[in-house]
Amino acid sequence: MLSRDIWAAGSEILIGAGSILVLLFEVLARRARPVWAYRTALVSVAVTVFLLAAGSLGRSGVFWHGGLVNDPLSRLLDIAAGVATFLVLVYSRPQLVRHGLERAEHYFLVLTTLLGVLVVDSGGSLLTLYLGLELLALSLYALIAIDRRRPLGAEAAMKYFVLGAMASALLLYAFTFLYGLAGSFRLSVVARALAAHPGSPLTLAAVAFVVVALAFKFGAVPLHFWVPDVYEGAPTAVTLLVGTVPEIASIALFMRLLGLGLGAASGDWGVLLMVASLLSLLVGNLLAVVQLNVRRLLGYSAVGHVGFILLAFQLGGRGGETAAVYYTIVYVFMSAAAFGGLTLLEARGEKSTTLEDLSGLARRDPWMAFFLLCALFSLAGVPPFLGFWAKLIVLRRVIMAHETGLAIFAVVMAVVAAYYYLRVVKSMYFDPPPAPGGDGAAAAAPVPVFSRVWLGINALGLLVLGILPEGLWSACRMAMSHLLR
Amino acid sequence: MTAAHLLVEGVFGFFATVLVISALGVVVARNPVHAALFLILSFFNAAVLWVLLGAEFLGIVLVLVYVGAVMVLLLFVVMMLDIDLVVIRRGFVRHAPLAAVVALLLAFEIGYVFWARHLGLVSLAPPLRPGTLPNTRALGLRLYRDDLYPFEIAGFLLLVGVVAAIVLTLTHREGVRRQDPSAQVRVEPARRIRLVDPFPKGTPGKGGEGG
Amino acid sequence: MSLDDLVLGVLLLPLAAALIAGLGRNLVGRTGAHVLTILAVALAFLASALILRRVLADPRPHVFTFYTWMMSGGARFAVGAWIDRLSALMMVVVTFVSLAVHVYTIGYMHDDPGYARFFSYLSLFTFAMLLLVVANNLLELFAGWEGVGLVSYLLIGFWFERPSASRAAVKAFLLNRVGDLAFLLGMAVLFAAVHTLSFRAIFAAAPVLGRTPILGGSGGMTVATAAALLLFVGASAKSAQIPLHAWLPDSMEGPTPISALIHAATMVTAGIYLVARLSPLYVQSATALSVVLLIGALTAFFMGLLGIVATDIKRVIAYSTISQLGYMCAGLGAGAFAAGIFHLVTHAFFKALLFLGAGSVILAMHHEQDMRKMGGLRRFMPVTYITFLVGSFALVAFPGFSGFFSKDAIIDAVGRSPVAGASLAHLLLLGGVFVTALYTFRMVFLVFHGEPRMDEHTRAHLHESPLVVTLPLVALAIPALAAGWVMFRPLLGGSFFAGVFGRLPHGHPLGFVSRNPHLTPLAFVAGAFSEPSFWLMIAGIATAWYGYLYRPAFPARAAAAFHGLYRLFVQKYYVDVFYEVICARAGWLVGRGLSTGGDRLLIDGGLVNGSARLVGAMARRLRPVQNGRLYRYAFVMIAALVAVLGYALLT
Repeated sequence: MLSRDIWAAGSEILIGAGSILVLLFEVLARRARPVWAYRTALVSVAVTVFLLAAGSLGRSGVFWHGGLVNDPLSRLLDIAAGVATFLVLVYSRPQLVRHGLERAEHYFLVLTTLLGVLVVDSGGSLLTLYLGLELLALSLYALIAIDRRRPLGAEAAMKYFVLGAMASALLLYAFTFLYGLAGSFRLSVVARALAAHPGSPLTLAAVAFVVVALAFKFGAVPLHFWVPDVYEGAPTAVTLLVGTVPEIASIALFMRLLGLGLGAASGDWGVLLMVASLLSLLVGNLLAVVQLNVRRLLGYSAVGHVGFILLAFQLGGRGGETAAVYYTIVYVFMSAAAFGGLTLLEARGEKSTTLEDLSGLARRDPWMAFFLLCALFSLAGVPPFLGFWAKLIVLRRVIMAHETGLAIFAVVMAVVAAYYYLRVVKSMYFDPPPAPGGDGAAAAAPVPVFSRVWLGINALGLLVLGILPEGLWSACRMAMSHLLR
Repeated sequence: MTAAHLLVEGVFGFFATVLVISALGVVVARNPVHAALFLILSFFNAAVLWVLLGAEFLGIVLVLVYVGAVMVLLLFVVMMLDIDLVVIRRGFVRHAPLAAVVALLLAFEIGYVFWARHLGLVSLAPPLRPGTLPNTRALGLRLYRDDLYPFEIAGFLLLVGVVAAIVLTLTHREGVRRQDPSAQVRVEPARRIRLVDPFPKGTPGKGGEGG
Repeated sequence: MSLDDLVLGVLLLPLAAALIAGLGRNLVGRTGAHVLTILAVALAFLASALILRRVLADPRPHVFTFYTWMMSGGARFAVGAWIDRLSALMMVVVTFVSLAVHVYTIGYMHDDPGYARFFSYLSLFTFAMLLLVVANNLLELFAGWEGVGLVSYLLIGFWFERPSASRAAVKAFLLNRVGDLAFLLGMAVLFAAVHTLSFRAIFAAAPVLGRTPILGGSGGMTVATAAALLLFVGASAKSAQIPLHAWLPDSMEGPTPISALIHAATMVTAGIYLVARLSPLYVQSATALSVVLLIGALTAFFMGLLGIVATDIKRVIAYSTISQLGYMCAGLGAGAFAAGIFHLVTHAFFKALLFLGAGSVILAMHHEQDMRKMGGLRRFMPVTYITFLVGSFALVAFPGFSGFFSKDAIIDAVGRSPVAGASLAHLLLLGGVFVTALYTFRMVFLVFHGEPRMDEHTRAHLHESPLVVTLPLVALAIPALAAGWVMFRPLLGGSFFAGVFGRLPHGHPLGFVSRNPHLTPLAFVAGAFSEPSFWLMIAGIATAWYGYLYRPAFPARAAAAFHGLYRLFVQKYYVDVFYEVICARAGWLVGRGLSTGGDRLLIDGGLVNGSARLVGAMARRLRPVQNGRLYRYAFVMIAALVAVLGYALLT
């Protein structure tokens, strides 16, 4: 019994063990450079992803007295999170080394972030969902403030921490309601209890608290304030992490908690999410337009993408949820490529803060500019790229639900989004470089080929998967058709 | 309703009231030390409430760990640092009316939820009965058997907390003398004690003997 | 190796080579580029030959699906292969010609700075063409179709520094776009009727489509007619049929190997292949067949006439290509699909041979292409001369040469075809024989015979081309000479293409071959001397001899006598003028009107800038909310909670 349970938690145990190993390196082998921590982290993530993909980490089922649920969805999200973390590690190391930030603790915290995501992905009870979320959040707070030479980072971390703690409190409060209702933390029991008491004030209160807390975690308007601040304030390598891996946990939380746990109350949360979605689309995209700081721009655009995801999710029903999961996974990899490109630019000794810093990039480094172009086009939803299919599928779902007005609004906002993404492309390809022959050229150091190649795989993958969209989509549909709770 | 029942209700009401008042005191106290003391008071009250509910173990742990360890530590810190809460509170009055309105609304809404008959439920989930198991044993079974997985995650969470705290505060500034236990342990006598010959060879008087 | 592995190999080898040679050209270098691409194409050729052998043993079509590209509304779009004798034969022809051209390019492009890029394009083209040929559905075919179009554009404009080259590239692209639009519409018609684009379903539904009126109406055009006509517009753009032929002569701006590979042997035959592939659909529509027949015949005759007045050696061959494609079209339109494909195959060999021969001449002449400055080259370049002569005899359909078998079969079949308009087409094709012989031997005499007319410097350096150039010439001369003898019976006799093509409802125009088992190639040759086409051809050669060797002053006098006609030919029937003055100008005017009125005023001014201003204004309003104060954020969170909770409780 126990061995079966341990096997089922294989991915979590592997990552946990990897993170402990990283710490041990730091303690026992002080002299060894943190590169060993990096390699350990990389290998443990790669091994986990490989074993997950090979399907050798436990079969589907409910384990640990309902605390852990293994189903195709958890496996899919685990793999996506693992791959994203792998990319994050690969992209961030050159930048960390260059800016003297490379420490074993950094890699430890990245791994515990992933661990939190994995726990949430397969969370079967309110307790594990909450703990996974806190694990993830705590690691992120520390990572955002890790560069102490950067006051912006400390400020962002502080804001994120205080607000995050508030959101966690709301979530816990909601959980007490649900526990009172069901007498158990297990999502299956909660779902049954909810179905038995439709429309009771307690249920409504729980839904309201959960929606507010989750909207904060995902960064949906009006609880998006931390997003641009954190994106701007955190060290670039951490922004790369914040913008990718936690999104997987967010969608998993939505799926597990709202979709599976509170599914019976979807009429109540659907409207709330729809409002949040419309606000996110509007505010995120409009404010992104006026940003000159690329990272703030991407931060607001992330809010806009969350709007798209919620737009699909609020439809309720498996179809909308599948579209939301698909969009999230696609978004994570687009975001990884975009931030990865910026991170590697910094690793070369270039600045990548404002639009002007990027101007003329196509002439300085055509490949890097092209990779960023792929990522941005995909984010904008330009047809052959993967991002186009994500938007298309969401819009199709919305139209099939006879919400044509919402679809039109989303399309208009996507057009606004295309404007500011293309502005970045324009500055990379058509604007003259900032200072001809200035310090940028002198300081440019080669980026390790390993990182570049992975960025290339990531960026071109957006194109190739966009041309052959069937595989990922059917994987999502498959994952969503065999859900457990 | 029996007399014992009434007594319990009365005791609960008293301590609950004190708990709320002391919690309010934490928030409004001008002196940080006062605030910390109010917090200790509220912990005590909460501990009493738990004991009333039949969770003696938790009540005792709350007093021992929070009051005995955590709050003492906190008080030390508060007394060492000179925190001026008045400065932090600037703007409090200006925003107070709006905040009050929102707080009242929230209180009203939550009150509505709890005032509704049976919380609006047809039936409540059966409350957990302590039953025949002793308090500690029930907790142990819960923690180490049923919820082992969340328990382990919580352990990891604490580890991350420790590492995060160290990462964010530990500095290796130049010029600051620090204790290095591992270096202390690794010390060899030969490298610490240098035997000096007070009467080197060739000096007049006694010769050839080291001290 | 299984058949689908072979097909994948044939497809992917050139693609991989193209990618490596193109993207990694700094890595592999010049030699690496040509070794790699030639190796890939050679292997593809071998694999194609193996595939042909397999389907010779087993005539049923082999249909595979490699993967599903996407599912949309219940319709499945797959990438797969449809291997039967037609596609296998095409694969062999494509890879063989491509291989010869690859080898030849080593010599021809030797000094070009874009050497590796050129090889990359060549291999990429080969891939796209093969994709087009093996496709098992219209969408996949269209992907290959667009692929060859794209590479053709890239290659015509290969020397993009030359304005004329880039203009020619754009022209080819635009005219093909007209055809592509029709192709897309044709696909849409079929998709609307059949709900899939796979050949199997379309063929199965073809008889029904032939009876179903389009758009659910009661009379008028059938679905089959509409789809067939639209697809033929696409085919006629790619195969340079009237009136979308104008891009092909201009495409001669590209390097000569390209003219040989793309604009003679393979790409331009894509249209022919398309019609042949969809023959089960075409036989359902008598109207479509008549259109194909007449367009083909008109093209064959009138485009041939232009070859008589052209002075650029490559342009003469280009017009001859258009004219020969007209013959193929006419064969298809007559219902003699096998004859059309037969001519496609022989033409691929001899036309590639002629182009490469012309290229060899151009190389020797230091990139001089004007025939008036050549002459007497046969003494300097014997190998080129002899192989060129072989190609010319094949082109004019001299009995015994490969072109003879296929072209005479077409002429004969058109004469016997039950399709409406066949008798007019027959006359045009017969006239075309005379014209073909005239311009072909005009070219031969001008280039290789008579007095040398080049300047002293060029003349002093005249020499035979290197082995990499002459070897492909010889390699192509052999099939140009012999292919007809080998292929005549199986291809036309009906056993090879059994079951591949659709059949006309009444009367099979190739019955004269299939129903007469004693009609051996030799008998066909012997019979030719009593046919009018033979004597017309002889007359053409004689006229050329008279005008360009015996009485060199005669052409000028003829031109003066028929001044108007001559001008008409030189101006290419004013088709270019029509396109430039009427279409382009009108399009430009409409475009400018829309640009100033619609775009700049309404869209830019009102929608884009207006909405951008609106967006900006709204964003500025929203911005102060995010002021960075923590307590405000926290307040918003609580306020949101109150609002959400209040909403939830109220409803």
